[in-house]
Amino acid sequence: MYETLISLCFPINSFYIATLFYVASLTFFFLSREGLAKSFLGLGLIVHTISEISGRFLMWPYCNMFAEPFFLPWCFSAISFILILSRKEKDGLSIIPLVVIFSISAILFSEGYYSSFSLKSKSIFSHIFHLFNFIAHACFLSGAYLAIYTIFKNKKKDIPHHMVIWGFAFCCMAGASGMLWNYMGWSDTISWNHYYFHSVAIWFYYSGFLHLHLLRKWDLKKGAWVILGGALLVLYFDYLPQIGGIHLPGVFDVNLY
Amino acid sequence: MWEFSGRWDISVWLLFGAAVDLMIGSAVMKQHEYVFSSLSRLTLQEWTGTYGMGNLNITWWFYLSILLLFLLAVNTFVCTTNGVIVLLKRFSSMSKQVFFLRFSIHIMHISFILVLAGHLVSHVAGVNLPNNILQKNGTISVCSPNFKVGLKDMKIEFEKETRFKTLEGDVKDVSAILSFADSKMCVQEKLISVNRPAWFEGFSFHLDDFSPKSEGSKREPYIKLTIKKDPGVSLQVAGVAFFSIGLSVYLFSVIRSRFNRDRET
Repeated sequence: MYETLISLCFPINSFYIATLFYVASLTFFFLSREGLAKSFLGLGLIVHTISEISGRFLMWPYCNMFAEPFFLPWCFSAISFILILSRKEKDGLSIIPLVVIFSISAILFSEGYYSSFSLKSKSIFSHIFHLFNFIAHACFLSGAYLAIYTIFKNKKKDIPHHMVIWGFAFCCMAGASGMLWNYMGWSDTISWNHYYFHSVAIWFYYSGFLHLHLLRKWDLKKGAWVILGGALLVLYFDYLPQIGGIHLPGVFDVNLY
Repeated sequence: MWEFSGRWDISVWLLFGAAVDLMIGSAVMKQHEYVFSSLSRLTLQEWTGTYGMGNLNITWWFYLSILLLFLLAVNTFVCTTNGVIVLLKRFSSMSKQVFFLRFSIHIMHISFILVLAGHLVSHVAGVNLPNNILQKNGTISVCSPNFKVGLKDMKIEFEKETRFKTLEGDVKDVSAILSFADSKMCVQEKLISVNRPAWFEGFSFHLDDFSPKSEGSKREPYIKLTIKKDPGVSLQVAGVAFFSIGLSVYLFSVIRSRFNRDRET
């Protein structure tokens, strides 16, 4: 299997380079050199974007359905950059540790960078479903991270809740696309397996949270713990299985690809 | 009773309740997937008579989820009706932006009920005919002797000189031309492939499996079709479309009001 995937060296190597830029950005963030931190974050985001596009281009039209560990750090850095550009600089920079943690965890814990090459994954709905689902997870996780961050900093901010609202919107769009993909490929709008049901459970969980939040029934602090609970569900049900569960770290060898 | 069934705290309890129930269900399902995968080919009542009631220690969460979703649909209906009445009464006293923002939420709620109703109709009133094997120039009858479907032609493409050597010789794409004949002897031809079903006379025809899967195989070529009549799918698609509209209007209104607020400050 491995000796045949030689051309995937490029996206993997560029992912490594992006991670190096992210680590440099984190270092400058801790040294309070915000300008340099932003520059390296931007460089990392550019290289990571090239990695993502090249990886998807090489596999096209197959969908790399298990690419979440590599795609999540891209989403976090993009969210960080968007916050910086929308004049929420401190919140944007505070996400950099999350970018680095997830990039390193992809290198140390991910079981590989390969597609399942399933014929049924060759659908535009499959691509949209997976991309939007990963973006939704990134919004939920960064929302939880910012919620806890603001609690410890004793601040009251709406950003974590906005992240959850955007995450929920992407989750809905992913669900719509997944429904169409399932109907086209398997003749049913429901996929009768445990992956589908835990995804629906997570959707209901965040619906419950949004009802509490939008009706202003809970304060921000209580809400933060609910957001954290949702993030733990995403990590347990979606992220952990994609890195092969809890296991010892080991850098995967790019030469195998 | 009306006021009680539309209370907001009930909807929150039901939403979190459904989340917990489905999480438990997901864990149970992982161990007993065969019990639930049969729901893709059986109607709810057939499944209840075979797998459902015979394995209540495994399927209880599924029936509980149906109950919770039913209560949630009732609660959503009452909440939305009350909300829309109040909104229409105050229509003249509020700005268009606020009206659309609030109305978009009700659109999403109604869409949710539509999707749930669609699922129920699909799995109660649907017709599912799996495992229909068709060889080239072969025909089968669907539901009545006058409604026939035949395999006119099929084409299997194999991967050649691909950048991934593991894929070499694997199937790249498969397509088939089906000919349909109804009671009026009207014949139509339609193309189907993986992820591309064909529709005729209210039935959908999905390519489930095929042969051969490797180049040079001497097996007789065939396709396996799943034939479905799903009256709920249009309700579900309508629900999802309306939900998307409601969501887009909501997000657009939120972004616009935030932009205006930022500009003012």
